[in-house]
Amino acid sequence: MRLRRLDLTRYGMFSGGSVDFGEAREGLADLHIIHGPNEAGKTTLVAAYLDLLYGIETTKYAFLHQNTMQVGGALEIGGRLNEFIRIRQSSGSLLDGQNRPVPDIAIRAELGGIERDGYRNMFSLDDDSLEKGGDEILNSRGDLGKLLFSASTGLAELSDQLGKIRAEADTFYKFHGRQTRLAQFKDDLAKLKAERERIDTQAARFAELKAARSEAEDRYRAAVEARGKTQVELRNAERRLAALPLLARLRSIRAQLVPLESLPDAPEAWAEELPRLIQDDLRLEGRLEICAARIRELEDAIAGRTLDAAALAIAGRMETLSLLRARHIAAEEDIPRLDGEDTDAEAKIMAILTAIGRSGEADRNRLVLEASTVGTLRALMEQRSGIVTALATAADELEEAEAALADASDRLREAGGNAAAPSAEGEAALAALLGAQAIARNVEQSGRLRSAKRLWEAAREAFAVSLGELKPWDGTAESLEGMAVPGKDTVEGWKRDLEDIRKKIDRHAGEVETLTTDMRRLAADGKTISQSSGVIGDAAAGTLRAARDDAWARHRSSLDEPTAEAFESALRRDDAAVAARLSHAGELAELRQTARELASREAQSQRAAELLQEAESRRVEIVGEIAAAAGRLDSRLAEIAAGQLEAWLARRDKVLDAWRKLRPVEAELNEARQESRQAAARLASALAAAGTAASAEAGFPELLAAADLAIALETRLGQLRDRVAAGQNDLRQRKRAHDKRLAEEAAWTRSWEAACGGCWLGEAAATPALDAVRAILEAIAELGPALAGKAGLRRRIDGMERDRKAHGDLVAALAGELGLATADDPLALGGLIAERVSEAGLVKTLRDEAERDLAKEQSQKRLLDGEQQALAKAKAKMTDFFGAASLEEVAARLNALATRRELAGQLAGAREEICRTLGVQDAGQAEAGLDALDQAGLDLERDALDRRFHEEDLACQELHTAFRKAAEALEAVGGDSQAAEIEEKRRTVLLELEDGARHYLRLRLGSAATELALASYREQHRSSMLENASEAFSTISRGAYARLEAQRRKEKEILVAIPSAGGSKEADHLSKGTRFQLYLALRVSGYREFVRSRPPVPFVSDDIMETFDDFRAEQAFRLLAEMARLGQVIYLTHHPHLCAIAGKVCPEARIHHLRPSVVPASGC
Amino acid sequence: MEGQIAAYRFVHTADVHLDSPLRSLALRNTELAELIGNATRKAFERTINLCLDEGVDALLLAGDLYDGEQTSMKTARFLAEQLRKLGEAGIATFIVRGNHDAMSKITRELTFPDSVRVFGGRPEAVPAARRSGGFPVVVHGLSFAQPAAPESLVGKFREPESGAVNIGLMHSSVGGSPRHDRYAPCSLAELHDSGFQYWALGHIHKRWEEKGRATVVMPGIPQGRDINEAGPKSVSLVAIGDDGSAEIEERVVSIAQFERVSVNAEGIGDWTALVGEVGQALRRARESAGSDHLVARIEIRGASPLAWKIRRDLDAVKEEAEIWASRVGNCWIEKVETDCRPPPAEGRVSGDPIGELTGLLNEQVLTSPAFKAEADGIIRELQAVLPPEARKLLGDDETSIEAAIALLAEEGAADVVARLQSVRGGGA
Repeated sequence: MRLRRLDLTRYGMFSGGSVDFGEAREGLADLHIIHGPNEAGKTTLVAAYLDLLYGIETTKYAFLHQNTMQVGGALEIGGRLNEFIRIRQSSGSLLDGQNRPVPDIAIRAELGGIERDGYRNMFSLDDDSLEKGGDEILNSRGDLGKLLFSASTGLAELSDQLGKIRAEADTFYKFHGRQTRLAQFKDDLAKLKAERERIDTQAARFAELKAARSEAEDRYRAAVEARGKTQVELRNAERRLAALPLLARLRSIRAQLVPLESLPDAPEAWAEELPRLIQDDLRLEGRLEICAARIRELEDAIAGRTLDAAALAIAGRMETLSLLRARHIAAEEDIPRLDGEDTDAEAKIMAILTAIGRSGEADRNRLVLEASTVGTLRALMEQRSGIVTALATAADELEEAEAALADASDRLREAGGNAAAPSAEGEAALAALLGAQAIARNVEQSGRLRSAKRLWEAAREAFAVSLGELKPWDGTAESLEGMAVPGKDTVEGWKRDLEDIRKKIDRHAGEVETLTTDMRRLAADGKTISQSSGVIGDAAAGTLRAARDDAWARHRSSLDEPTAEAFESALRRDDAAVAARLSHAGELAELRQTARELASREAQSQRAAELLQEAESRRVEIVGEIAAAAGRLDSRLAEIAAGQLEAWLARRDKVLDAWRKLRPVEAELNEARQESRQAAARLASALAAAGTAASAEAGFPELLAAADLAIALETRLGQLRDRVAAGQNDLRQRKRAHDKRLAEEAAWTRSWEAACGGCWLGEAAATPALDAVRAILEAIAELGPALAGKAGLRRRIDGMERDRKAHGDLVAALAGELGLATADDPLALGGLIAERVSEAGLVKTLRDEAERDLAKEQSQKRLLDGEQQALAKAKAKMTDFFGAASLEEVAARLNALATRRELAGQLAGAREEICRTLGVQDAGQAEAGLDALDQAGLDLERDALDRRFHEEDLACQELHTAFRKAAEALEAVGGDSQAAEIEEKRRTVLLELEDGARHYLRLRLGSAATELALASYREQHRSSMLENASEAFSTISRGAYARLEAQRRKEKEILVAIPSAGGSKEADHLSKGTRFQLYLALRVSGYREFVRSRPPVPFVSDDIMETFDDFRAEQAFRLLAEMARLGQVIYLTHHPHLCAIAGKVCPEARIHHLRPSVVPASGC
Repeated sequence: MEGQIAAYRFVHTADVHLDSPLRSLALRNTELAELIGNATRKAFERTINLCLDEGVDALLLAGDLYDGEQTSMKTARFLAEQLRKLGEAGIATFIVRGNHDAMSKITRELTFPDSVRVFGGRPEAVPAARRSGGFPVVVHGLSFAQPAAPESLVGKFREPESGAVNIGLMHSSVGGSPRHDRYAPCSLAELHDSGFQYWALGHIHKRWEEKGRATVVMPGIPQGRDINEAGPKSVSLVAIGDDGSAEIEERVVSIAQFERVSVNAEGIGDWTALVGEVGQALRRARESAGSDHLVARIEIRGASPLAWKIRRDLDAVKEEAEIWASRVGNCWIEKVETDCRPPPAEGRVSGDPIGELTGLLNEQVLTSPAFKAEADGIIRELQAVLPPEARKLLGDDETSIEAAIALLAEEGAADVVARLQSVRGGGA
């Protein structure tokens, strides 16, 4: 991952700040130095970077923006540039360039699992984290610590995972473990084995079962045989005992048979026949008696009934009589009522005739009118009212139309117009006026002129103001535009040069100052040393020695006392000085050193003064150059200060800009004025054409009002003319309608006269009027039905008279046949006749019934007589056979015969039973054998046999049970699959166990091998990181320390630094600066280790070299530059000299300057 | 066949291994155990029903009716009961004993119905009863008297009877080396030279047949018992004409069929796609399987970016496969295995700690004496606590045990690396 750009959109004191790191350059170190003074926001920048990666963490930087905090940036991930924005929000705080939320993993995936703290402690360093993280490393904590002492970062968690794998293996088997799956499997196997053994039968066991069954069977069979023999003997004894009572019974039956032997054998059926004969005899006698009595009774009844022949003869006509009688009675009631109704009908007819004035009419039916005639008359009557109304309406409308036309004509005249149509010229003038008015109104309403004027005034004001800022220069915009101004690059160049020179002057002046101070201090030091020790400097010593040598030379040439004394004195001084120098060798050396340093400072001071002088003159040169350039522009500008020229040029650009803006605004204003003038002129001429005098100069409002008035007047006249034309047109139409209605009325009158003339209505002198005809039609509506009703009544009265007479005739005829006297009232006579005929009918029915019953009884008697004769014959047959007197005697004989047959049967049965009981064929032999037997002996024998049998039977049952069990045991083996099923289960468990065992071995062997590999891996990697760190530390310390070593102290390893001079130092014992250098060395090597296995992440450090001297800082930058070839390295500092060192060590390093609270600018 | 003399029809099978349990982890599934448990019995019942449905003349059983160590009389009783059904239907049964039967104790105790003819250790030739008349048929048989028969039995058979169709019933490893094979090795030439028309053989569990002067049929095991007896299994329904020509139909009687289902993960980088591939492979395997149930062992092969994940989540693959299997129907998963590797490009990135670790494992650790000593200790400890039946877990002899350990270590290391890979969020 690489940071391309960091946006501090709203973060801390930043609003819209941004640092652009640019693209990585192939083959060059990606080292960035961010320089800025205190408070420029370096620390904020680092915090913002971490917040972008991990989310906005604290509210420390929220003082300005509170909840709207936002950082953003462009990250290069996997060769692609990704825009991200981070806002302050509990979730979904990471957005992409389009403000869409993206998951944090988009960034996190690139960080190789490093969390914020890890990043801060490893690769985002400030004094604090450098030290804290360094301690962590030394105490083998944190990712790098583990890397150094235990494993590479990538494998740190692997030990845990191996532990888990081992634990998984342990679930299958563990030494001395009880609850393992292996133990469970073994248990299952044992259970299944036991289960199988329980239900299964093996071959050997089967053979045993078979043998047991055979033996039990043999024993059982033998016992059954013995029991059978005993049973036979027992049965024999029991038979004989049972036969003894049978013999006694046989003999008793024989004795009973003796007296019955002489009876003859009658047919067996007689026993049943005899009781029936006796019963039939009694029944026949009773029935014959009842029959005779009944015959006598019937003969008496027939004799008592005589028949009425005359009445029976006329019975056939009684129905006709009854019908006529009913009609006679009805006529008697209806005739008087019908006569009354007839009189009423005549009166009604007469009333109608009188109403229409035709009471004397001979042919009444003629007066009833035909339906078609009535219809025609009624239709004409209906039309009449419509025709009359329409005619009246038409006359009224005609009158109204005439009045309206007169009114419209009057108004037109009053308005000063005439009915003639307006001229074409007048219309064209009006149209032109309307057009001109519309245009003028548009122009007025658009307000173009007003707004153009406003814009022009504003632009003009802006131009004037900016022009004023160019003082002391004044002139026109055109002259300003024509000026040959120096190029931007030139101005920038002057500026840069001035800045450089200013810096140089600052530096050299500072140096001169420092050196002067140093020189004074050194001089004072030398003086102090000389004074305190009496030692003189080499120069003073040289002076003494020269004085001595000089004195000697003078003494040699003169060899006198004064020279000798002078020489002696010089010699003494010299000796004293030599002696002092010898006795204060230390102070002397110090004095010498002070002198040397003083000389060196003097030289440096001199050089610095020279350089300062050079810079000053260069500055004067450039200032002069700028002044000259300004003077070339305009003489008045020659006075302008060097630094202000750039500002003046900027203001010139502003003036030119305002001038350029003014020009189009001015053009627009002119156009708007022109347009307005044209519209006013056009409207004025249109008004003139329309007959209204108006001046184009009058102004829009006046012109528009005049136009409105002219247009309104013309419109009003037009409307009135239209109304007169419309009135004339309407009058013509009304007249046509009135004529049509008059014609319709004449046609109706003709039709009416024709209709009346077609019937008796026309017989009057004049055609009757419409109302008269309507009254006649209403009156004669009832005449037709009344005439028809009266004729019907007459017909019904005549019919009734005929029925009454027919009835009287029939009654008279029938009375004659019965010999009855005739009477006046045929109804009473008829009743008598009917009664007589009914009586005769009843007598005849009763007599016929009695004759039928008599015939039935006589035939019954004949049948009974026959039966009695047959019965007498049967009775005789039985009494004759036995020579008996009566049927009762016969019955006694038959009973005796039955007893004999019964005894014979019993005898045969008893003999048969004896044979069966003894099991013999011959009964005689059996009787003889039984006679010889002794009952008591037999009983004893039977009891003995019985006991033996029961004993043997019990044994049999026991043996059978044993046999059955043996057979069942054998049978129980069965062919079922239970054993095989269990075996299959057992096999499956075994397979599971084997599978588990293999899995266990894979896990165990696999983890054992991996552990070995892991140990080897750690060894290799620790040494590589340590080597790296050693080298880095040696580099930073400029060889003061030869290397780092991991040494084992008690339980843990610690890191010690080995100085080149020998010995060893733990980190705690190093000076702060050196310790920080050690920490940085560890980070550098850690970073190298990190990027070996993962994509690089930016390495950021915030002024961690405060405690480094320049030389070590230089070495540190060398290491950072090297790192920057592996990944992006960003170093923030407020020390300009560190920027210089970095630039020197790594010329391709990019330096970015931050200014307090100002948007950072890149690459100044 | 109208107008011709009725052919002699029989069912020929061998190596029934009655009640020999199925050996599959798939039976851990109790539902499946219910469905295909006792498969050897069920297959035998189907064979008997085939005889009855087809109304054949005889059933020929060429040895190894049960496993040698089989001692349950329930098995024998079941066999007798089944053969009794054939006897009642007038179908004869001819049996020779194989090496397993010779070992078996139950053979001696069992009483077969009269319709069954068991050939003894001396050669015999028995005229076959014909239900519908026809040409004479003689069945020759010779049983294993001992569990081993190092010499060919063919020469000991009686001479073929002239004018009859001669059928030889023999348990033999045809083509085996006479010096090393203990199961009556013989050559095909011997069989063709015998003058017999049909050789009903047994012993080899994989089916084959050869028609020459004699028709030689090795029917194979009728019900495979584990993945090593994979593939379709059947019995032979044979009709021999009076001219000795044989028509052979293979009839599937197996309840369950074991199959290795290979899934090529080559280049598959997406888990869903991999699962889909597994499903398709299962569907194809099911479609081509003849038995009621298919018990599949899935083997995922090939170089795939998913290699680590497959290895680590083999359980998940198995679960997915089981879902597919239930969707396919009558299909069951015994086990899922993989030897997938990551594609070469992803195998080892320089500087990648796992890659480096893997390199160390394969190049240094696994072959190092230190590791071998540790492995030895681990294995010894486990073997001491395994039940006796499982002692041969890693093999019978030194060489195979050593190879097994090496393989376990290699696979185990790969498993562990796969998991470590996942810790680092890697491994696809």
